[in-house]
Amino acid sequence: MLVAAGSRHEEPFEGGAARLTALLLTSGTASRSAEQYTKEVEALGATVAGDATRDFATPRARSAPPISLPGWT
Amino acid sequence: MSDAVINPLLDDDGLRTVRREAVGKWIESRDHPDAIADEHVWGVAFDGHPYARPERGAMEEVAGLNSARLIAFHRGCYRPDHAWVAIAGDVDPEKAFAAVREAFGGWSGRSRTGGDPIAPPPIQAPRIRLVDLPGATQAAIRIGCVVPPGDASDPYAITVVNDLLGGGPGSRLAPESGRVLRSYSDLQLYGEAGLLVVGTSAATDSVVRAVGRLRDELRRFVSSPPSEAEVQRSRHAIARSYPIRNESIAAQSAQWLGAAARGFSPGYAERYPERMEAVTTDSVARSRDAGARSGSGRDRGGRRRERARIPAREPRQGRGGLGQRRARTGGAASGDAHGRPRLGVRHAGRQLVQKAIAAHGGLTRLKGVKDSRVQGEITFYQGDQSVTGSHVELRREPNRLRVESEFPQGATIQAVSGDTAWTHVNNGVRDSVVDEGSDAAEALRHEYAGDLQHLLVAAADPKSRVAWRGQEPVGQIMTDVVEMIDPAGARWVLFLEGDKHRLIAAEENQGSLLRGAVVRRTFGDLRTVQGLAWPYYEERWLNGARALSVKVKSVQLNSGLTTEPFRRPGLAAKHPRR
Repeated sequence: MLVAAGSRHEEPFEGGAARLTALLLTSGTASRSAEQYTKEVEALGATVAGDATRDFATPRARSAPPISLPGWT
Repeated sequence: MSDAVINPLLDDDGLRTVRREAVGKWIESRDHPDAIADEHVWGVAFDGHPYARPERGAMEEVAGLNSARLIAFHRGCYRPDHAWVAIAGDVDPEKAFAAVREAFGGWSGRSRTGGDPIAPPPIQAPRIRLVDLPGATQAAIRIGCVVPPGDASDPYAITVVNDLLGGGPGSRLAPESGRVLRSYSDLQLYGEAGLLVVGTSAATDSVVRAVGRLRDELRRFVSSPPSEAEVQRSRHAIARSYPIRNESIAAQSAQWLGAAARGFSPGYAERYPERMEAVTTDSVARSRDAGARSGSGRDRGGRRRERARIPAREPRQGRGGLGQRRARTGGAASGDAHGRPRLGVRHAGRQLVQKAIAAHGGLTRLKGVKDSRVQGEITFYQGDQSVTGSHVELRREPNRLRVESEFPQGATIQAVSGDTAWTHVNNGVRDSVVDEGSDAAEALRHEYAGDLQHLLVAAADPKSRVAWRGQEPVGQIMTDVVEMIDPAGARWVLFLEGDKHRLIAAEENQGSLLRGAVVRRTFGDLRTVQGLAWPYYEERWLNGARALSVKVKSVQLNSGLTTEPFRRPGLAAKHPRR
């Protein structure tokens, strides 16, 4: 998912807000505590994560745990 | 996911946790000239534009954030009129659309992020920013050229420019890779503009030479433009590799999202190879000239100079026991008028290497290892997540390496034998062999040369240049820092225990394949194997973050390994790479 909520959209004194907001997307919601949210996501065998670049926040979900392709380089 | 996006719990407890981590990483990055230079080149190139802000925020701003500001940011920006959703996988489209409608249907409001894009500020004259990092032994150099909005939304020609200049194998800057000066170029395109960065790293006593060589290469790129054959080769390689790079569903959905969010045509991803193949020498020249006009890489009058200073800090311990402080001695004071290390530090470096060789069992034993088989357990780390699997590493003289990694999700084998490299992937669905190109072969050869045994043998080679660069802690252990340029021209920094002189860490920090990332290897749990002190534990750190660890279970030396394991298997090559 892309949301136009990257660092270029930060107002003065909001520096870092884009990334921290994106990171906090997985730390619970208004109706679910962080623990409850994590349990429900895990029960689906899924992962949810968030990050932000200059232009966009990038919330994303996967139906299986992400793997790093093994390799040395 | 929709609940998280629409109604996140942005409270002070959660904020404290992520902010502490963010500030910690920021502080850690202050010891890495590469990270500092990467941040500042955007600040200089986009002065006055929102892109000048550090992507992760400046530390003082991050430290001052509270939950009210995050809630205000979320309320202002996380709105459906500027959001895009992609679902990729084995799904029924109708059900997927219905699910998205149900999940996001109640989301409303207008984003504050609309409005016309802001053009990057015009560059009147090259600007130079010097960031003083007292005590650093290494300097990072970046030359940034703003990519105009037109090129950022039509990325084909500028992508070829980057590939030819220093972004791809065989590029103008690539011949220096693996030698004393490793240089690269990197292109990042965003909605309103992009930045083409040419970069390198150099010992602090070699900065003048390094800048001169970069400047000369940029001038040559203008005075001797790429030929039709070069452009054709580059565009063909990029077009051909595009589907391979985007073969996973995650990559495909990311491509689709990026195109949709930027207003590109729906068939953007499918047509990318075709459009790339249509790039001409003229369009490459136009993109190159536009970048050159907006950049700071040309030495001419009227330059604006800025100077920032990062104060020296007290030594501290980094994560995982890795001290990140730079050496306090050596550096600029250790070079002669031509930037070469002085005789004293070269002599000290040579002596320390001899002691290290002795501490590991002697040169005869080290050189006597003709093949090795190391078996163990490997763990990859990414953020808070990790994945563990089995790991086998085979080496056979000369220049043969085979790395096998097996995880529950799949297995890979990578191998190099001289100039030939291949990768075998088997994930239960796909079983294929990829013929790797010269860049991957070089990376694997570099890997081959980067184990403890080869590093020590290289350091002892009379053709290697070594110099003592002072002392620096690695974890709790104070080490002597020895810089080495090996006979092939690759630069390494070796960390030798201060009292026992054993090699406990090595750093390669100018790798163009990693775009200048600092790669540090640490060696631990040294045990005696056939008279050699051999590491049974190894970690790799990328820019201060742990990337992987290997716990060795068995080591076999000189078991008579044949050349067979390094030969390419007979499966059909589905994706030959350049």
